[in-house]
Amino acid sequence: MGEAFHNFWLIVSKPDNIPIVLMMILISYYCWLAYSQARRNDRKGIQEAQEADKVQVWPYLVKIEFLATILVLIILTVWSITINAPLEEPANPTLTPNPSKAPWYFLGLQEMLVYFDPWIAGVMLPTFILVGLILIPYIDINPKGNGYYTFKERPFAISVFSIGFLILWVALIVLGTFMRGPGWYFFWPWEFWDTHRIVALTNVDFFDWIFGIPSKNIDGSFNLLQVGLGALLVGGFLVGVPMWIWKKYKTVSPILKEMGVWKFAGAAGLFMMMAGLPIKMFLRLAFNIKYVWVFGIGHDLFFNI
Amino acid sequence: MANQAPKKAPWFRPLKWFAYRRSVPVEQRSYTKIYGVLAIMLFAFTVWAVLDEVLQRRPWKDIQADFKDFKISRLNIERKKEIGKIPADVRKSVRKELSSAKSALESDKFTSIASKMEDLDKDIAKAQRDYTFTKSTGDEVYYHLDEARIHHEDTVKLAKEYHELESEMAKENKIVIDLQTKRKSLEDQATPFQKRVKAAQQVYDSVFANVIAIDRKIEATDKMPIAIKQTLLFNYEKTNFNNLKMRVDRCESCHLSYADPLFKNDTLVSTDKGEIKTWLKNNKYNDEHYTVKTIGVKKDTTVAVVSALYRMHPNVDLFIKGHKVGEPTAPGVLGCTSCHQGQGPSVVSEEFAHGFEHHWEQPLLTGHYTQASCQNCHSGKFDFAGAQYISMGKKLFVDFGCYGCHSMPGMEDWRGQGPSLTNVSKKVTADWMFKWIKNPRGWSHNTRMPNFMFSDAEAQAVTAFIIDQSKASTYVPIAHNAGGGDVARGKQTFFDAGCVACHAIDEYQANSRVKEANGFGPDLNKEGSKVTADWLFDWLKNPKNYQAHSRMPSLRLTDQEASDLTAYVMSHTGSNDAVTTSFDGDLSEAKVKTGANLVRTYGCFGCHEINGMEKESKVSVSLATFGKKTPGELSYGDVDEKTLGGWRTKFEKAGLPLGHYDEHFTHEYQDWYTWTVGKMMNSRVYATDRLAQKMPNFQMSTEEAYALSIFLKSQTGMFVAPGYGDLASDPIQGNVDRGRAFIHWNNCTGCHKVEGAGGYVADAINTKFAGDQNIAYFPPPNLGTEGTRVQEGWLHQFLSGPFKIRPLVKMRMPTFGFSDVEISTATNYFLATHKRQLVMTSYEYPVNSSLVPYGKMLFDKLKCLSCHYVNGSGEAAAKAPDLSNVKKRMRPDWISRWLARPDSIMPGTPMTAFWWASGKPAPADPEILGGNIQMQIAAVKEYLHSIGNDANPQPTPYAVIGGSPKFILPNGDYEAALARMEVPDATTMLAKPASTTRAPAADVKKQSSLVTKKKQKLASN
Repeated sequence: MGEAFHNFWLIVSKPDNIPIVLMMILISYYCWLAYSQARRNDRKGIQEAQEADKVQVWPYLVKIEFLATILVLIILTVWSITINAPLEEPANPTLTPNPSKAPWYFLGLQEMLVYFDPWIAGVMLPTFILVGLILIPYIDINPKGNGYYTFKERPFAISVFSIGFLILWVALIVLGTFMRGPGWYFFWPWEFWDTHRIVALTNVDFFDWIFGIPSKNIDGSFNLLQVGLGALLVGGFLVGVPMWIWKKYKTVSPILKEMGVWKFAGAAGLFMMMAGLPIKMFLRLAFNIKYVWVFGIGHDLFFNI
Repeated sequence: MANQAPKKAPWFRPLKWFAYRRSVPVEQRSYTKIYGVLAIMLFAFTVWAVLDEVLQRRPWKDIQADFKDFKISRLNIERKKEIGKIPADVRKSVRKELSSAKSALESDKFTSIASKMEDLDKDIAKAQRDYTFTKSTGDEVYYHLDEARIHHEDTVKLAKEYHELESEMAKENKIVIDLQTKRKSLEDQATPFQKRVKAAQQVYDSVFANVIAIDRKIEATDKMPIAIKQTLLFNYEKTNFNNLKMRVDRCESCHLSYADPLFKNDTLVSTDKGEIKTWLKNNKYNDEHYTVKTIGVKKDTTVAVVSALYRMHPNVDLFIKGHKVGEPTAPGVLGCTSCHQGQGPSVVSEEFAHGFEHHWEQPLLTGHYTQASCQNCHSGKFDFAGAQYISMGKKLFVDFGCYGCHSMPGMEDWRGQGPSLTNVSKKVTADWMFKWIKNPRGWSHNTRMPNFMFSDAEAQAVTAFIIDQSKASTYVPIAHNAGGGDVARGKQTFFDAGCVACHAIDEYQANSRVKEANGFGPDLNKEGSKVTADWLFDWLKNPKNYQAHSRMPSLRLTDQEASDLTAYVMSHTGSNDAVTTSFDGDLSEAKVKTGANLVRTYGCFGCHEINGMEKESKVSVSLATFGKKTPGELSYGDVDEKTLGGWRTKFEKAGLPLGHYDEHFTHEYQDWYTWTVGKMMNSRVYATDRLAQKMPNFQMSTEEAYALSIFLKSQTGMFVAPGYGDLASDPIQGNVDRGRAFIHWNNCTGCHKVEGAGGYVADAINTKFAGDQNIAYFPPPNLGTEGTRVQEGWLHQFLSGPFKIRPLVKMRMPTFGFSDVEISTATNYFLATHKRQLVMTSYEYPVNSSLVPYGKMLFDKLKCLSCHYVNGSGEAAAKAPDLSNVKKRMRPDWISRWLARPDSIMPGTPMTAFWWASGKPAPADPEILGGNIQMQIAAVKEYLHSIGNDANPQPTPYAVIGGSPKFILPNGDYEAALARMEVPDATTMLAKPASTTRAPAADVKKQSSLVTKKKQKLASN
């Protein structure tokens, strides 16, 4: 146990990783603060929440912000005195470090590389994240919840944000920092980061696993049955499910009515794509599923999901 | 919710304090206290930041300050010693005279003179100022006067004014001169006082000169600025992106004592703790200056080792001055990290400066691993002065034939170390071969043949293959042993012919597996049970008959000598003690095939020539950058941390400490050093049931493993910038490197001293004759000066077939049968060690006949012929070389130098230094040529030339076989060999001095491949 703790301590106390530890604490605190205030407001009633606790920015807020600035300055001063800059060995074009890690804020993206091909994890998904964030003001037509914490008034928006930011971004950064060791293998915090570690690679494609339909024929060409099934599955997930919801609820739900078909299509498409990531992660981690759909054109264009 | 309002609480109960605070409306909260606290904190931490930057992160400041104090205290000890050297009465009288002379300056008489002079000086200064001012005014007036003249204005008034000023100046000048005359007379009165002081001071200065010098040092030390001291190595290294880069070494910022003889006494070993205490006290060491260790079996010996901050570098002449360390920054100057590694620019802490930080790729080399750095710059050396482990490690690497399986820079095309097996079935029995393959060290403890850990079945198969592939050999012993050898005589011949220089037998046992001295050739202690008398006789007469590329030379033995030697060696029998099984005699095709596969897998052809396997490639990985491997790149198999730690301790205890290991993110003791020495001691130690390992077991001792690991540590592929190391591309350095490999390959050092190392046969001679000088056993010459001594043409003849030089000396230069390229390698090497290149030179010159008669007179008078001989007369009794071939043998300039100082050129030479007496040049005869030393020496030189033979010496034949003399001929195929003996064209040879060969073996290979091509061409025609 002593050795396990030693390993864990080496990782946690690494100067590079200290911001991540602090980030975990700060994010936990602010989430708790926001959720607990939302809960209080929801109980008290929105009217009261809108009126209470409002003061003039000048001088009351500026005063506190000035004090906060001093505090941050103190913390940074002490930090830079006590902890040396985490420099590593000189860059060497012929030798990559193991594990080879992206800057901490990109570790979530790097984690996605485990589950998807680089062009999806590195190009397509980040693009959709940016596009989605830009589109939020146009998709979100709910006028409530401005200037105060609430959950009751925007349950869907807050849930999606919490899952998307806290789990699919922050948690993946934490995972990438503390639990991805040499060879990008998964290590529990108490496990030694052994460069010689061997992990069995037994991934299979989804339809191979479930029906025994291989993705490729013996001669290397694509198995058309698999291509068809995959297209059905992926298409059904990304398009079919939203269409079904639209048909079933467009007359019932006032929100859908107000959104209209285009806004709904955009929001639903982005949402399904976001939901796809944890689903694929689950399939990989629980059942060693490599790809759900293997498809390609020629030798250069591949569409492996 | 809370009904009652929180009560006011003091700050040290923060929860309640906050609760109360929150109950107050924001508009009414006071932030004064919080602001106050934060402001004080910010101020305090800013001060901390400054202090941290200035003090904490500059530990070298404290070290330098402490060093200054310490050095001054040491200088004070020296000062006391120096004062003690001056007799007390002298000291007293000198001081007394000086102080009384000085006190005379206080007397009334002198003070009154002095005060008068002072007053006068004031007056003079005033008068001089008056004069200067008047002169200055005069100059101004003159300017206006001049202007007026040019513009034709009125000049009368100005001229008058100017003349007035001039006369005033004359007056004032006279006042000054009068005052100065007055002062002069006062000075004359003061002079005796001052003279006395000056004289006394002079006496004091000369008596106390050493003390004053130390005082100056103390003053300089005291004034030494506390500052970073650094050495800049321009264009020293390359970045990972291949750009040239400067290196900065700041080691001297802390290690100030490294070149200061004041800190020479740095260790004391004693069993008496009191002695150590006194020593430390007398040398002013405090607790931080040294560490005390207990050593010895009984733990009764204490060693006080002074910290590296307060001691001098060992062997300063070689390592510091010899490597231009600490010289003013200039290209080619080496700093500290060139040898020691570490993070040169860092001065933040010991850990960082020494590079003991996970990310620094060249941490300080500890233990004896610093020696690994020698190889970086001197890649062609085999004997490194002052670095025994890298010398041993490099030789072991070559001698164990490691390069046969592993590719290694500079050794890519070297011939394998083992003997050729193409004829082996004609030499040894299958059963001997089987036992040998099974366990070589069971036969001979010092053998370099490793143990392949074969099972019985595998060894059977390999033996069957080896025997099978040499079955077709056409080798037959040409020379037949007629018998009639005498063991006792053979033993004498073994010594006299110089066999002891390479082989171990009887009382001459080898004590190392390095191919050097009498550990070079095979151990002959059991030879009688290995080979037949016929084979041995033929081998002794002509080794090249059995094996074309053998390093065994011919000793030009007579049949009788060869028979005696055969009888002597054959009388030594024994068995392979470690193997109980025998060869089963089965040579079936299937078994031979299995054997061939095993041989291919284990790469036997890396060292041995095997029929049908000439074109196989090396079976293992390149070691070119092995020294840079990280623990992650090495497999530790099933070896646990405890075992690894055990090895570390074992080496530590043997006085062979392994290098620093980085414990960061690795299992304990999983480091490069432990891995390497473990592998050396048992090459299969990291094998697992999954991972089979092929490397045979060399079963190295701790010392061998340690030495080899140091050589491997040097394999970093480090870039050596021009001007910082031996450049292999430099033609002279290339010749030196090739020559060194040649010397080691042929064990020249077994007999000769070369570059200060070797000459091991002298040890055997000293043992036999208990150090008595015996002219018949005069050791072979030191070849250190060969390149300045002999003529190149003569050397070529001598190396192709040596002839007698000193008739009485029994040990003989063997006939190696060198090819022309090998001979030019040797010749070029001897020249290159003196920074020379081979140039076709004629040493003929017109003899000055007027000097010859004087030379003859000196020659007779100095009785040269009592040791030397001329033209064969008196050869039988001559102790010294024939003088009739001097003309063709020696460089004329060398003869003069040799005659002048033979003892300084070759210490221990029996040649008398005739022109040297009581430490200075002296004429050999006071009358001849008026006692002129130069002329006398020149006369002898001219005389020697006048009696010299004009004919070139003829090389002695290699052996007499079948009635006619033969030269070096491999495999008895004389015609083919003669055909391939193409003497290279002299002009092409000179244009590219020996650039065709890297190692002695390579050229033979190339030549023979040329012959094969020629043959093919002939066949196709």
